[in-house]
Amino acid sequence: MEANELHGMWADFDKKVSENTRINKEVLKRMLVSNAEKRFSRVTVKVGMEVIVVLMMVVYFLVNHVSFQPTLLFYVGLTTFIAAIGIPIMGHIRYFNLLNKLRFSESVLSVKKKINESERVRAKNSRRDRYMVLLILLSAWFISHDYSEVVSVHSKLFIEPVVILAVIVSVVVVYVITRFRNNTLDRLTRELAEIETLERD
Amino acid sequence: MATDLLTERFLKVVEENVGIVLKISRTFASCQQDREDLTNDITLELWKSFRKFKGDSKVSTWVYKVALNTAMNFNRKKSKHSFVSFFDDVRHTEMSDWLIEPVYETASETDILYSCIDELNEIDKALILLYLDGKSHEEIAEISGISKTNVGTRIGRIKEVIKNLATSKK
Repeated sequence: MEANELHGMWADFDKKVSENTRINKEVLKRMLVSNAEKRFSRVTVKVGMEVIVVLMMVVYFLVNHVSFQPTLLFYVGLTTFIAAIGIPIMGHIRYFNLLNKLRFSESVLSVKKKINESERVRAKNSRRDRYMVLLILLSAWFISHDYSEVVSVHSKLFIEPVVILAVIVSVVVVYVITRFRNNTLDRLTRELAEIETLERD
Repeated sequence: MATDLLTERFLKVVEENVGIVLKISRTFASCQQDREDLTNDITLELWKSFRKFKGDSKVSTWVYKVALNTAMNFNRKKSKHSFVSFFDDVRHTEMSDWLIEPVYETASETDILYSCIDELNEIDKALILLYLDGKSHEEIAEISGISKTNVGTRIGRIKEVIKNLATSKK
């Protein structure tokens, strides 16, 4: 099949499609009005619901299971808890922002690059979320127990649980960092390199 | 009033360029159901970005960009958004009948060509579509974002691949 044969065949098909395709403008108009805005909000609804559900659970937990304690352990636990909840939420919001920035009227490679970036953020989010669950549970356990009698700042024993918490956090962080490279990220990195090669002269 | 005018202008654009949408849908979706969904997706994406289209490029170039990007994103999106599939179901029942397509003859030469194109990767599919539609290397570079030099080289390779595939399928 030579190039001119290909072109000829394609042109015939094109002519057939153009001559025989009709559009019902009224039905299309109704579809545009009723669906365009709904579709636009799909990602917003998904991310919004995730964030709202998590925040509601956090507020419920803090109100019903946590009482303020002026101990170092409580402060460390609370800070860890807020960070472990806040970091994944920030990640999801970043993913949402990247998707919202997608403009399909840009060139194919430019859109592919942006999708690649959003996929990387999504892959990192999902991996990090799994490890953060452990950290959230640990810190929630620490702040929901009353240690004021046992390990107050004035107690000689207060340092022990702080060290334990620090060790657990360090182990989780090191594990996350060392296991962060996975197949999805490697594939996305390869794709990005291919895209950049195509862009160059 | 202004919205009505905008809608009318958009419908005219769709009418004039529906061939591009159909060819891209047929190339990037494997079954009839997916093709219909993709055609609807492309039309909605065109509508969404129509307000921002300032006419700084040819209308067909803009249609190609939006349609190709939607098509390339179609399969990824299909598998990733199972959480909101409820919305898809609602959408699907509401969308139909706006397009009356011709019935294609089965096992024609065009089908063989499509089955050859189907074996290419996404970027190569886009390039060969643009090439077959008679776009110049400059236009292909503008739509795809690939450098002009790479467009020429890549199209040469794709033609060779299609030639070999078509020979083996005939």
